[in-house]
Amino acid sequence: MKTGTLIRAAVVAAFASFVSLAPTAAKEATGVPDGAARANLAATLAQYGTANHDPAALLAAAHIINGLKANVAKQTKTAGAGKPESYDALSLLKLAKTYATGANASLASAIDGEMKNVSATQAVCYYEYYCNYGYCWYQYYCY
Amino acid sequence: MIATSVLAIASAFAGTAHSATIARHALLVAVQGYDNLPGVSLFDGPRNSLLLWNDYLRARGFSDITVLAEGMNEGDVKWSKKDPTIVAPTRDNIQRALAQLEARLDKSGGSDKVLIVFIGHGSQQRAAPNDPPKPFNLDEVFLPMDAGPRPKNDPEGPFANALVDHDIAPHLKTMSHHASFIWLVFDSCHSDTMTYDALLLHKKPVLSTQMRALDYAARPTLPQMHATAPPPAFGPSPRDKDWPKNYVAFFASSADETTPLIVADAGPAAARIGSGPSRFTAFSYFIVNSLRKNPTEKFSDIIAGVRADYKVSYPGDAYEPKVEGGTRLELPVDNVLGTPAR
Repeated sequence: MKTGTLIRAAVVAAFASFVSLAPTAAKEATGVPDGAARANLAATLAQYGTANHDPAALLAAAHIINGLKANVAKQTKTAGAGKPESYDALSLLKLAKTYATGANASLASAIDGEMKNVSATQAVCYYEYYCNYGYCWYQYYCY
Repeated sequence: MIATSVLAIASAFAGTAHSATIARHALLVAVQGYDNLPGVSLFDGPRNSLLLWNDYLRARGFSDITVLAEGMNEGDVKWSKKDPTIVAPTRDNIQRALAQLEARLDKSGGSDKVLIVFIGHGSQQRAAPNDPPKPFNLDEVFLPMDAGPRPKNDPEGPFANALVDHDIAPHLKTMSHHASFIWLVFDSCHSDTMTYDALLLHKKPVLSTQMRALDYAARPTLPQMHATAPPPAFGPSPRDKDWPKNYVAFFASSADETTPLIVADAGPAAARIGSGPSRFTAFSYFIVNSLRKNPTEKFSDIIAGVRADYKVSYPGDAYEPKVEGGTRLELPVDNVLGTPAR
């Protein structure tokens, strides 16, 4: 099975599971139970979608980030060098829209729908990305 | 009879001359990225909301607009030389801008109107020693772009460089003496009671070093004090004799709650940032939208509209705007913004 097919299967599975798991509370003192794993999946999908111009992967990444209601750090190897950047769900969706042509044209309306869910709060919670001795993980913080 | 008519005309003329000299000042602050707080980014929401405010106020005749904002790079925003100079929204710059505005008001003779908008990240931190009692002993803070993290292993500790509620209240008091009317908008989380003035509720505590001094010990016994009213409630208290009576304040959320961002069509900001879906801070977006639809509405109508918009846009959440100003909320917004051009 090709990597692209595997990713697409993951995208479908992600949608099916995260729609029901998406948190609804406005105020969150702690992250969702499997937030770090979701952040990791979102980052992987965002990287794959960006590199392969895949709107489905980008849509799924944005959907997961929206469900977390928290910023997700980009996975950079140069940890500690400058301020780490976060994935912007709106930017991912705008990028996805540009790729939603031809065989992927049917995704356009789903992307538009997901844009309405990009409504994180101004209280910033954050999945920070750490790497130490080759092992990397996400950790949840609120400011 | 003639004397009365002359007086009436004179007073009408005086009124016209007076209103002709009224200036309207706006101070707009938008913070969205924090160099010293990893992961804290409101993306372009605050900047875009500031653009909405700026363009609306300019269309309404504001000539004195001070802008402290991030994300205003040439490639990101169309900002001409006619627009206000951009200053970085650091703690020092914000304090300086407030002081400069106070100096301008001081020269104006007390008839000018003021609008101050803070858009960015707000939080709470442990109240400073000697602060008056507050719910959960927490101060509300607005974080400038140079805000730093809390002390290590102290999840309620004070942020570095935060603008704390008792930093704001002295500015409000000073401005209230030199301005005709002030409208404060705090578009940040945990913003209710950002005007809370500790100085108004408690006198400066006597330090033990002062008590040990001879002149303190030699003081005559003070007469017994009797409380004439129950102690003031938490938050700004109208009981305070010198608490300003010429302002209204809007807060995007209660002190223990958050406030959302919203994605909407760029609309009026499209000329600045391009068309299509854009992120805004919901509180400012709803207020400016309401002002565009009904430029002469009352402050209370605006906040009622925002409350309704929160419920429609976030049906599953408990976002709730807060206000201060009592009966002054029934004044039309023209009181600060002026009569809209026909």
